[in-house]
Amino acid sequence: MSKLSRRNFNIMLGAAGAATAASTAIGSFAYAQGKGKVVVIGGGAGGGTVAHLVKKGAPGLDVTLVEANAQYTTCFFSNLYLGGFRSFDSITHSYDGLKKLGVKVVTDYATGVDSARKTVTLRGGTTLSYDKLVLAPGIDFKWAGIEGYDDEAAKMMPHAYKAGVQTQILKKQLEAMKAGGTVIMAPPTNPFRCPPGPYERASMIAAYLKANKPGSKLIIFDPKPKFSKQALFQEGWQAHYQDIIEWVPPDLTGGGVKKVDAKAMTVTTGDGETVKADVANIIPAQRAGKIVHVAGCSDGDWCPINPEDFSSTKVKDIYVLGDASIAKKMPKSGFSANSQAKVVANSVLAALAGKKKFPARYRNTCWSLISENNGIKVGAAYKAGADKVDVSSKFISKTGETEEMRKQTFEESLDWYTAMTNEMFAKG
Amino acid sequence: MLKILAFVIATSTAFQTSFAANDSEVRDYGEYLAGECSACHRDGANETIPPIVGYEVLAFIELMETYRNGERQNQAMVSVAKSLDKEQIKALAVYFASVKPKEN
Ligand SMILES: Cc1cc2nc3c(=O)[nH]c(=O)nc-3n(C[C@H](O)[C@H](O)[C@H](O)COP(=O)(O)OP(=O)(O)OC[C@H]3O[C@@H](n4cnc5c(N)ncnc54)[C@H](O)[C@@H]3O)c2cc1C
Ligand code: HEC
Repeated sequence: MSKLSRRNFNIMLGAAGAATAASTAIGSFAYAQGKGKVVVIGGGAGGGTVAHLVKKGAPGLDVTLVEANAQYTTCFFSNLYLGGFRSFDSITHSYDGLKKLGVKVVTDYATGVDSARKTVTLRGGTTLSYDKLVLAPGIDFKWAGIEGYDDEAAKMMPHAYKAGVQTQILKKQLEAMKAGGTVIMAPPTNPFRCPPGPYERASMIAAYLKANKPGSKLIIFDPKPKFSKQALFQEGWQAHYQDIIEWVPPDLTGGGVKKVDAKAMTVTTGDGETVKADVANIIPAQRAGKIVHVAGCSDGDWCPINPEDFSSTKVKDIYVLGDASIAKKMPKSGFSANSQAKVVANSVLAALAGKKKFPARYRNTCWSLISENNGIKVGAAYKAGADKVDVSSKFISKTGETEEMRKQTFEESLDWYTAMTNEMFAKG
Repeated sequence: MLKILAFVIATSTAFQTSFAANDSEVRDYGEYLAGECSACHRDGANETIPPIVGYEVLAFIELMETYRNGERQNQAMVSVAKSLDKEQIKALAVYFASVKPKEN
């Protein structure tokens, strides 16, 4: 850098932000340009948004996004694809927008984190160094919970709880099923991503069956005695799918599905009853994606975080957000992850680019579609409490709402989907 | 209308007392707060969730007030509007007023 530009720079800094500059360890030039390396692992709802906002906020920062897949299929609206209300293409996104913005998108799988050296290693052999590391790997499955269910069995009895090929398998199986067939669904135990997800899925599968496979049934063996938006879903099922959906609470089955035989296409419940399925959607219990455990950020299945900025309580210079974090009272949702990402981005920009750090605000809204144009929603505003994220206020759709209201709610969700995926992938 | 006026006045007093600094700081705060809006609102969407850029400051504040006083009842927006204090709404108004709508 020439003398002249440094001098100009110092003058500018003197006027705009000397006080904050004094408190940062980085040199003054670096400070205004934004200098440093940010590595984000996981290009989903949380990680995509962080990469976008950090790069946009300080183009001088070196931002690398490590994502295992070249394209991302959203879990959100994947149920609508199953119901026939959305195409697969419309829920699949590329990373071109982020690349265009200047984010280095690396299609590889992160296998190691050395938090002392501040490096990340990738399966392909690359080592990346970081000043700040952001982990947003989503979930992994705890296969041990259901005897006989594993990665292989999931090819025959899809979970479809990571969207993509799994969702397509489930869709094809539904299409191939004979009329009058039986679909069995096993929702997961708590906590899991998207609390209303399995029940929106039940609604969408039922919508498909009603229109295409007369006489078919959908039996839900739930390990939980109650579920998200239950009154609203059950009202909708009663009205639209009375002869199709049968929800069976755990006290009637000895705790839901405990065992499967993927070859025989049977599921066995806790009280020993074995049932044959034509299609079986088995959703196992979940834990944070593997990399957070490797990085030493987890405490049991999930990662404790500081509620004011989602930095790890366990490892310095690492943030964990989205499904992998313990964000109580926020549910694990794409909306939540996107909301947390804004606070993480602000914190990273404050640390590396001298931006002002503002108090955290969080929000969630989860829409679900019950039948055509029949949308419902639940949501809340949150703030950082002392040791957890606290609810400030909440709302939920009401039973007995007009068709017009439900249609408006559904249409809202369409706009939200576009806005959020634009933000995740720096599109539009 | 009276209510809105009172609100606007209250807002500007609060604004003066707590933001000694210049407008750009207010705008920066508004930009941060607007992160919450962009999950649903985008520039160019004009169906169910309208774009919210380019409003005059006072018009924006009045619109937000309709979600606080019960005139408009969309649950998601009522929740958003009620979770913001007057300074925050003002900061958002300043920020959104500074953003030009996209030409379509
Ligand atoms: C059926 C269903 C419906 C849903 N509907 C909604 C909805 O309507 N609204 C809503 O808000 N949410 C919904 N969700 C929840 C939402 O999908 C998740 O909560 C959200 O995706 C979480 O974001 P994340 O960033 O934590 O993880 P993800 O979005 O899952 O992103 C994680 C990414 O990290 C990558 N990754 C993981 N480990 C590594 C590694 N080691 N190296 C490189 N890459 C890695 C993965 O490939 C993945 O792309 C739904 C979920 C399901 C299953
Ligand atoms: C959860 C989704 C969601 C979020 C988040 C959200 N909005 Fe809205 N907003 C809506 C919907 C839906 C409408 C239309 C509501 C109606 O019909 O009155 C709306 C309408 C508005 C309007 C009225 C616009 C007009 O032309 O009538 C304003 C102003 C507004 N929002 C501001 C904001 C601000 C500011 C934020 C962020 C602090 C925000 N919104 C966050 C969903 C959202």
